[in-house]
Amino acid sequence: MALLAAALLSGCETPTADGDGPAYDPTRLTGGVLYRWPLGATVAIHVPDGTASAPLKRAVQQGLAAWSSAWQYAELRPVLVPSPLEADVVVQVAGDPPVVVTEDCAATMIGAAGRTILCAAGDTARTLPLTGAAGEPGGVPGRVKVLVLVDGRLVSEGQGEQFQAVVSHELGHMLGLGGHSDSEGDLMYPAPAVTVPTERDAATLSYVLHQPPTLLLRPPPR
Amino acid sequence: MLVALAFVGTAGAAPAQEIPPPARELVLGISTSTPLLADGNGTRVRSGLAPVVAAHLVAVRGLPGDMYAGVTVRGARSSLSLRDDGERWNGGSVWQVDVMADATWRRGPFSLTGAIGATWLRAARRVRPLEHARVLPTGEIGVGIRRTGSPWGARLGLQAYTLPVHGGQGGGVMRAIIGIAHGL
Repeated sequence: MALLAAALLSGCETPTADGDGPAYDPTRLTGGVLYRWPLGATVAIHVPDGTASAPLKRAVQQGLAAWSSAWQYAELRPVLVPSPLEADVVVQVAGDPPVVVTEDCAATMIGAAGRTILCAAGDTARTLPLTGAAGEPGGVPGRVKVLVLVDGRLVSEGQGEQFQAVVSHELGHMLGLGGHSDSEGDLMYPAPAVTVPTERDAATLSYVLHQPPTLLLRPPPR
Repeated sequence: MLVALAFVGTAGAAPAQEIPPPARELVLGISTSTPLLADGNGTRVRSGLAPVVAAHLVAVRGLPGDMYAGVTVRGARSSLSLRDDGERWNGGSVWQVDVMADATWRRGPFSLTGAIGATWLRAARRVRPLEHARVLPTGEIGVGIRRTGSPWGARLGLQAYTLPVHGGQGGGVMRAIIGIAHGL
């Protein structure tokens, strides 16, 4: 019994894990602004019907599944939702009728073969108003914080792999990566040649998720 | 290194003759533990208060020193609680099942138990350090009390096991379990 007690009292240091450092600057495109979603948040993503919406939905699902390798502590739970009213993020093909209005804000725009748009408002992101039938603000505020636009021509031109790479890349920006990698092998390279995040991409996002944000995309869950 | 302790009690006012412990016992209780992980980026992972169900079976009586040996199977389900600076969030549920062989020494209403065995941990979501299900050696010490002639008693146990961490340093986790026992 004494041996058990001695063993109990020894070796009880809390298990520890090394913290991730970024493989590249995650704020290079935002002038030092580190943005992210609150930890534990469900991030609702809407893909409206339109040009190439079916392949776009598939690409978004595959991209999110790929990025889930960056979650080490169940930090985010992205889900696809059918209505823009319940969406935090809209992903659509550039040139399709807009779902949200972004014209009157000084948007943070991050582009590769797509664009990720969010409007900073102090230490949070402004809600992008939903459009009406004529493309004007529809009087319904919604809760969209981020708009992702991708080039749908990649689908019609049969460049499915490149389309997936662009969608996954833009999802990286949506999740909190406000910078590009200098390494050609990374998904967050400006012209990505891969469709899934590398360990460097995942480590950089993991780092972002555990830093105090300059800009929290929405208030934390209660 | 793992160690487990648990006390079991049988009791009476001042029994002229010892009443043998119940051959089988069901325990309902709650558990809490020390943190499962402290991450270098500031994240702490811990298991919240968990309801516990345990079954104890006396397998061998009449050991030297009025001891007896048995087997305990115990299950618990809790939620993983995560914290990083001022942010807190839920990491989903975690299951823990223990299977242990124990030896118990009785004196009057009180008992003292030492146990060793294995613990199985599985989280519903991918949360370090439980990215995968794990089976780990464990030990426990415990105390118990039981009134003579009553099927009811109480137990307090302190369990310990070492949790390895991929990309980090393993360390000890201690878990306290308190419960009401009923002999069958």
